[in-house]
Amino acid sequence: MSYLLPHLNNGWEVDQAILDEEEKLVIIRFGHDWDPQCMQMDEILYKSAEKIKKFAVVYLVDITKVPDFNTMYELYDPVTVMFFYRNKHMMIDLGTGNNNKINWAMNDKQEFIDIVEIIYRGARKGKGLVVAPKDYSTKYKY
Amino acid sequence: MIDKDFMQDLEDEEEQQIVEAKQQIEDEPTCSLLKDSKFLQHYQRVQEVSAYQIQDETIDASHEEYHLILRSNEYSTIIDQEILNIHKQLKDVYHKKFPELEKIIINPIEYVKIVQLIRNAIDLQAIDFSKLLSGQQVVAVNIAAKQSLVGQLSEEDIALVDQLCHKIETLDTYNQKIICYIESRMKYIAPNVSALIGTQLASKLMAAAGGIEKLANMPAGNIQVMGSVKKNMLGMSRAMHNRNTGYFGTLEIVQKASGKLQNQIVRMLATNVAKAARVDNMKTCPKGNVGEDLRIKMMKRYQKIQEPPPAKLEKPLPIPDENKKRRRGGKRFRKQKERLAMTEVRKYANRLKFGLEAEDEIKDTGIGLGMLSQGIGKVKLHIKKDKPIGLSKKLQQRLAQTKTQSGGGTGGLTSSIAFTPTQGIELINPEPGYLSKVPDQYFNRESGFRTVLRKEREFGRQY
Repeated sequence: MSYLLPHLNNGWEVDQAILDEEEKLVIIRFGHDWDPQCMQMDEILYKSAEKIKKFAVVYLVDITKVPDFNTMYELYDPVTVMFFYRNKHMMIDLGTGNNNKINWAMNDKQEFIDIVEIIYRGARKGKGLVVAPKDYSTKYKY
Repeated sequence: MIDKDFMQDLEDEEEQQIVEAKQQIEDEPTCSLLKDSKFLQHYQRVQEVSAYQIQDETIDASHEEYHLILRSNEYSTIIDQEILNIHKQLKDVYHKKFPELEKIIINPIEYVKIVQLIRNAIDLQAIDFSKLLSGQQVVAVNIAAKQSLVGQLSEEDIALVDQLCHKIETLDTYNQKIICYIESRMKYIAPNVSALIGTQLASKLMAAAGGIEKLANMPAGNIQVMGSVKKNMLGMSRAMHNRNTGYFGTLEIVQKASGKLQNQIVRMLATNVAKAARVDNMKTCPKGNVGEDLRIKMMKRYQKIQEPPPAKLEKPLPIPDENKKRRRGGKRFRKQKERLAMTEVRKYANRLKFGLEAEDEIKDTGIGLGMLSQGIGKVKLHIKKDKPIGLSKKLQQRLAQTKTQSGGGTGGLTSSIAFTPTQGIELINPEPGYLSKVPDQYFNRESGFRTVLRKEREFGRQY
């Protein structure tokens, strides 16, 4: 699925992508195309990309090709998804303790779309932090 | 050029003959058609003409073959009727020998062939049916034979059976020839129907209907099921048996189609045939253009039906924008707003005058009447505590009565009347004569006729 989503190959492209979008939410997945967790996340991203294309855009970044953001955003997990709106990083309260990113592979398309919608609404209103509809503090239990 | 009157006379004559022939058949059951000279003449003529090709493009009333074709059509229906009659007779005779055969084999021609094979035999093992019948039918016949093949027919009966079989056979051959002839000329009789479905099927339909006029008058639904054969299913499952197969079932297009499509194409064909038949009846299009057009349109429509439905479009979600609520004005919405608006009463109930204490309150909640009970301000409240609100005077009086009487706890089992030594009930006879002290005697003046007594009282003692 990752071959169906646009990739950003260097730091400049990433910057441009974040700066250029004025209307939509920018969703960037940091990871590797060959990593299984990334693959799972990519599938979810691809499936929901068509549905949310009116208010969000999805990009994929390979962190070995583009190592510029690794320390800045602390990209030490296999998969990391971050949200940007009008050059501002959006924070989400997922219950995991880390509000900056989603650093696990989600398995439900609808959940992801819900999160994106909440972030978009909050971003439109000018909020920097939104509360996710579902709590992921116990995500490993089931 | 043939004189019109002459043709008319000829026509009338021939019509009469047809009517006579029909009459004859009704009167004498055992076939007279084969002896009928007119019919034999007609048949000969048909055989002669079958060899020729038509030179003109159209056949109208002036063409010599026109009447021949019409008569052939009529004779065809007569022959069918004849065959049925004789078949009935044959069944009646052969019933003594092999009664169940008629239920297994319904088609008269097949029945005749089988009867000719069996004749008077008792054991069917020697006889080979496989050329005439399908496998299931052969089995059915053999099994039925074991049970019901009884006795022998007398010499007379066998002779009669042979005769009847022979008659049916000859009639059948004549019929086939006539149908062949009609088919060859079909293009000229009903060009539009032939253009639509082909000459063979067109001739079958026309023969079954009994003429182009009758075919034109049939509704399309009837045309659709024409020719559906009544088959004995011999214990086979009816699940796959398509009820729609009539004459149309023989067409290639129909046979290629599957399931629902088959029904659709047969229906389309039937409706178009009905249209074409009406055109042919009126003879407005002798070249068959209407039939061609109908066919082209029908095939186009058929192609369209077979296309798969369009692909499913996945719509993206709308932008989760909070739309500004459009407020509407006008009398209606004003009224709606008034219903939910804050009233003066509520305003006063929410406030208290400075310095004065609140009076009524619902327990400890603090919700009370506020300024309404304090009696100050524009809105004042009159609370009538004794009178229950919302009751009419009558109801209130009744309520008051019941309050004073019983406490309501006795229910309907006790009465309010109490018997004491001083108080009791006296039941009074409502009749007027009771109160008088004079004892009852038969001829007492007081205890006389009621009517007389009444008149005495009214008019004085005159009686």
